[in-house]
Amino acid sequence: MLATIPPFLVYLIGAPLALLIPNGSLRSAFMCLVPVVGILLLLDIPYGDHLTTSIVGQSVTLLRVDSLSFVFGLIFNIAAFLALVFAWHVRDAMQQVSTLLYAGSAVGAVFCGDLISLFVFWEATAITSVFLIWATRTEGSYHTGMRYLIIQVGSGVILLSGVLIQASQTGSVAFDAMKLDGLGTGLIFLAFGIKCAFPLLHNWLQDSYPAATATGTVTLSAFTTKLAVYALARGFPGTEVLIYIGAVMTVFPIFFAAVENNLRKVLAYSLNNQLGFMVVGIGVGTPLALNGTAAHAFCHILYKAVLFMSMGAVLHRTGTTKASELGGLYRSMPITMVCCVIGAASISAFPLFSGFVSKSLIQSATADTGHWIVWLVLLFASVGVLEHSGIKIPYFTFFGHDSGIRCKEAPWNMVTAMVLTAALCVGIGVYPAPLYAILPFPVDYQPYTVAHVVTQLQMLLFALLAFVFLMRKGLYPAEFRATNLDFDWIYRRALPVIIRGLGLGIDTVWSRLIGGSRAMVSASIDAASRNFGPYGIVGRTVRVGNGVAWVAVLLLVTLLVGYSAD
Amino acid sequence: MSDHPASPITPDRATGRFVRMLDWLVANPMRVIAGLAIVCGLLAVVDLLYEKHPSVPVEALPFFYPVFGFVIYALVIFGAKTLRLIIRRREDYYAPYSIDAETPNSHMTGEQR
Repeated sequence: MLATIPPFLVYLIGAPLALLIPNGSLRSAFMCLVPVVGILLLLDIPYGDHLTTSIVGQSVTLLRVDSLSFVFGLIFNIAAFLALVFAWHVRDAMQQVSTLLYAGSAVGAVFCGDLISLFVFWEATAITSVFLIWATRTEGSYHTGMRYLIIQVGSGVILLSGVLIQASQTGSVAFDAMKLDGLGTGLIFLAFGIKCAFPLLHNWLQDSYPAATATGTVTLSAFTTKLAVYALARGFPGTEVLIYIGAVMTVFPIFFAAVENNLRKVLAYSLNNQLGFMVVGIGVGTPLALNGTAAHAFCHILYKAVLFMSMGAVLHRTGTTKASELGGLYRSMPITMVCCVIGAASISAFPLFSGFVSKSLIQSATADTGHWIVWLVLLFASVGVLEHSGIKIPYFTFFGHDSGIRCKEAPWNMVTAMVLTAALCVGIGVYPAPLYAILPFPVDYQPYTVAHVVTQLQMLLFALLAFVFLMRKGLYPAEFRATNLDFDWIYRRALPVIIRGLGLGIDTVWSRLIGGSRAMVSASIDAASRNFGPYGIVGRTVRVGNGVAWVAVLLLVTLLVGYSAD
Repeated sequence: MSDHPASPITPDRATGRFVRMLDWLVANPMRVIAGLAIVCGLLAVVDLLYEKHPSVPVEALPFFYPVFGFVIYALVIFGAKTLRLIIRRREDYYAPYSIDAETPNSHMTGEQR
């Protein structure tokens, strides 16, 4: 009986139940219990399709547990637990409910066996998560939330269109591997791409994540984009175009992250870059590459969580995450600093940290399949990751120029969540076997070879040396309070100006047209009144003699015309 | 938000020792840099010592990874500085439709009021 309870149901029931408990530690404890129950349920469900039913002639499966959905389902539950511990002190019911429902929707989506239920959960993640942005309760966050919601719901609508076309063409809504060869699958691919922050579709990510609350961003960072990675891995493994999309994704955010002042936005760019690695893995599509994607998503959720947590803790204590305002915080928040550095080392893929054992699977897969240029691009991106997440985040927050800010260490719950997450990052890095054991395909890979450790350390430490060199020479870009434009400028500034310009143009032409017509009509009326009015040349009364003379002239003209015609 | 210019917090003894060690490192950056340089030098030497099995031809080049790390890092920085010339605007460029220039409130930071 227990085997058929889908984990998302625990969240769905847990959210309203939590509201019945007095708002305090008891409610927080109850909320943390929800993902624990989710994990226990998941571990108990045997692989296979469960809860299959038929809706309007289509087979709908609410619970498909296999090696791919298991990895993502497990890490989503773990991430929800860690995010809830981190947000233990939050007493805002809106955020509490939103966190549970959002996590539940993502967990639900991962276990969908068909595209219809995927669509439902896909939209649910959008609608439930926006409250974490609106919870900031400023005008800016309201507008940011609206932009986020429009794009996320838009992705769902595109998904639904694709699913309907696909269903009408193939007669099936099963969520299995598809070929990118028609309008239906094209739309589904686009919907996944929006949520996965493909290049030029990515701006919602950097726009919205820094606008959420200190704890909300931690939750946001775990689910939406990794759900899209899962959906791509399920729906489009081995689709070659993904290799190139992913490669571009790994590179372009690096440059934006390097000059961004808001460190939570730097992390959002960094998240985008990490998604690129996973997308490349899906595109390569070999068992090694797909294992790499799943492993990297698993590790990434954890180290990205600890990085966002450390910035959340800094925001909580100091009121800012702007690099230009921070510095020297290691004195006040040493534990947060250590956790942040562990997250930074993990994302930079230092040996003994989690990124090292997961990213290398993807890197090796590109080499094995002969994608040497892509291999080189990923290597380039790895140096970029070290720059913005490995060095910039911890350096400008905790070291660098001393901002003079002296505050307390993060609250106990934040510290607990950070330490737990950081411990997982180190644990996986030191002993990757348990992670490798749950990957979709059997793993025959040894990350700790002399060559791998040496080459990775050479690359990272020489890059660090370059940082020191540029810093000493004063060539490293200083941090300024500024807004940096990205592609969203097109729809936030250029398009509104073009549309306003077009509107103004249409308005001007229309008013000229109306004005001109009116002038013509009134000129005609004036002319008519001038000629036919009481004093007009035609309308006025004339003397009989003059009249006879006019008639005689007309007669003469008629006669002349008549004769000339003969 | 909370207690900016307040007196330094005195953490427990273990954390205090750790912070003092970091204080020493921050006060002596040249020692840290020298340490890093020594490790880098050792890693460069190691490059010549072990047998390489390149999976991609460029890996066979001597000192490929050290040179790649150093050069690419510098390229990223100069590329980003060039990009900034084009994309940098005032912080309130999108105000009031963005949080960029807003001061985080207690809702965002989660500080108890």
